[in-house]
Amino acid sequence: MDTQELKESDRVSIENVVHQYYKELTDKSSQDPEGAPFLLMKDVFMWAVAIGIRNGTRQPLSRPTSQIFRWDQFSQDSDVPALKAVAVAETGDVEILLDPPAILRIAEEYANAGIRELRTELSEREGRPLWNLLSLARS
Amino acid sequence: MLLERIDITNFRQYHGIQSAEFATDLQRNVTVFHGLNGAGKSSLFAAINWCLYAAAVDGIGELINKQAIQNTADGDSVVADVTVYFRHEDRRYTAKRQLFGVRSGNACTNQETTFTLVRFNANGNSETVQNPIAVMNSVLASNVRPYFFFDGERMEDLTKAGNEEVREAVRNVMRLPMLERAEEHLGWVASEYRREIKRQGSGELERLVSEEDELRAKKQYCVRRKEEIRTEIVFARQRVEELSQRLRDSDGAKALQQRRDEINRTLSVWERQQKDLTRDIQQAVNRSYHRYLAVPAQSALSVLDQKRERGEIPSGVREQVIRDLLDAHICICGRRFSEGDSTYDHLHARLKTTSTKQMETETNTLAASIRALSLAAEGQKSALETSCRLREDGKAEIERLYLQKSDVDHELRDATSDDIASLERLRSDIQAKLERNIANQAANDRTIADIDAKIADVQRQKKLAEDKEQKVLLLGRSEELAQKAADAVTKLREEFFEDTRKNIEASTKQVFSRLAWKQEHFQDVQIDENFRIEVTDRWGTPTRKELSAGERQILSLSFICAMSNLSGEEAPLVMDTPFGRLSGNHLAAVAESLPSLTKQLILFVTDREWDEASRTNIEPRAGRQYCLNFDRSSGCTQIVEVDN
Repeated sequence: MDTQELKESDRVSIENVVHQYYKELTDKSSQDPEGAPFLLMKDVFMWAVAIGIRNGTRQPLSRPTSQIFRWDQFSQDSDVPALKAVAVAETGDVEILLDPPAILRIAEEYANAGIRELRTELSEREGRPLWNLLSLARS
Repeated sequence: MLLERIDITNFRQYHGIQSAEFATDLQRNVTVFHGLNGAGKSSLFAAINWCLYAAAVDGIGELINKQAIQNTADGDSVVADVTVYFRHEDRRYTAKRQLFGVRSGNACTNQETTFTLVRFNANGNSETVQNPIAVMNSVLASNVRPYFFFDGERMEDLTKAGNEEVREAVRNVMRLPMLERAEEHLGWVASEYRREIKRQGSGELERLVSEEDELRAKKQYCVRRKEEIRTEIVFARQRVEELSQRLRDSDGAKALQQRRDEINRTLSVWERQQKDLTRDIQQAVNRSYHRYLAVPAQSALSVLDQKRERGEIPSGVREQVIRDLLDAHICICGRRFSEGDSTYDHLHARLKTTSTKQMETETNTLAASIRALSLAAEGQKSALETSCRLREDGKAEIERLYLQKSDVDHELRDATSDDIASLERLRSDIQAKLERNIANQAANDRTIADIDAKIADVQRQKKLAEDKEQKVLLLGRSEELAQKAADAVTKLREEFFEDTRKNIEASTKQVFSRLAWKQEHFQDVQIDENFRIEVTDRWGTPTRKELSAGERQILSLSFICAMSNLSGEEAPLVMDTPFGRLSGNHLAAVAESLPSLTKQLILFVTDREWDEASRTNIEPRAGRQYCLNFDRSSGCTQIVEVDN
């Protein structure tokens, strides 16, 4: 899937109320990687999708929403196949591979369901967020 | 500012009226005053500073010439005055400072000072400046003066660890206080607007405005605190370094202190490595979400496999067969059909549900990618575990080094020599305070970041509330504009300060490489975020502590020249005993380079400094030379011009 195919839907949306979590988890990450464990917002998004999938929850976005980054920020080698796999698994239908906006919508809903828990697990538990993320990656 | 002439009357050892012209020619821009120790160089240097800025006279004793006091009847008044003629931005000025006193025995009482500044227009008319101190400050600010009119004996201080003077010098020379005032003013304007919004706005907006005010007040407190902590850290670092040096110099503690230095060096290597490993772990862990996607990835693979088993992938042949049948209007069983009948509709429907070539590519690529991802995930996991293990090993090594350091600390604290034990106790107390302050600084920075996030949130809410209230919309916009301007000035000031630091660092390095004769030995000069000047040698080792007194003076001189070059100030460099600690190659290099580093150079040198090397290099650039002749019988000095 390339950006041309996505046209108007090539930006990833999140609810406004969770925007600050994305910022908090990436802000000044190069200076304080332990406090802000994610390098980019797309990394937070992918992890939020993963937590949503772990919990088996999808949650449609409530307005207002913001578009935080473009589809082409996803890694073509790892992020994009993962999102496509999620969409195929979710629908049981390979036709969805020809409908990029639908793939993105499924991912956005999983991320929307996972972001709050991700933030709680990283920032509200004992220990610094990077090491909490490492525990999540190992668990 | 270019100095043209000085008239000095009854000031210190200068009795009667004496004068000297300063060289202003661009090719011969150096003026040299030379004399023996005590001949009056520092008094003449003080006279210039005193006249222009009422500075540099603390602790030097009576300013009025003693002979002039003796020549005055008891109860009569006696005057010392200094007049400096200078040019600034195409206008001429005469600055005159006078000290009036009344003779009482051998001293003067009831002393009173006056200062006048006269400005001459292009047509030769003069006017007395009504606000002379402010005008002098606009010509060359008084807080900048010490970096253009400076005492060579004090120069070396600039290179001490964490020297606050360096930071202040950069702040003042680059006129940062002006930006700080603009920042303060714009912040005040924004707060005035907020007050007005509160007065006119609804309850909700008023609450939000109050909340923002409170947050900004908290932030202001934290920013002030940040500066206080920073100063305390700089001071503590300096003290720790001084005390460590004293331990290094002490026979009984030397070996242990060197051991501790070695441990500190090793620790910094390990701690740097830990930081790198933390970044590696961060990168790896960012990609480690795949383990949670293993289940959907497997499901997707099953869906793809089933499709393939059903013969829907690859699909290119099926699609083409159906298209051929539709074009020929003949079914696969040989029966003819026409558009619109049931066979046509059936085949057409099948075509729609049959995968296209694009689908075939998508599905094949996805299946391959999912399988590759699971392999890559294994590799990533293993790399992550390796980094984690190395980091744990590093952590253990760091703990071991801290224990070793703690043993050294104890040995020094329990030393039989009371001097060593008390030095170590003091060092360790200050070190503990330093560490507490570093932790406080980090906590304070986090608080500032939290407050910033809350302010951003309140501003978002405020914008929504303001949208509802058209009446206060205009005020809201003005407030937003003022605050944005204040924030922009803050950002600008921070960036400018940082850029300035880097530019001064580069320029200092450039001048230092011209002045230091062992230039190939020194690889780099750095001025870090805490304004510590450091020199690294050819092996990349910090070597400031090992510099000779002369090299330290050269380093300071390079820094001062760098600031003078970058400041954009049109000001002379006036230096008292600038070559005191220099000899041989250093003296020759400085003497050769200094005249070209500034527009006007005025030097007060001892006869020892004015040796063959400095004469050979400076005389071709000297427009004026004076000898300060001290008369033993009268205790007074005559300024005598000598031929070049």
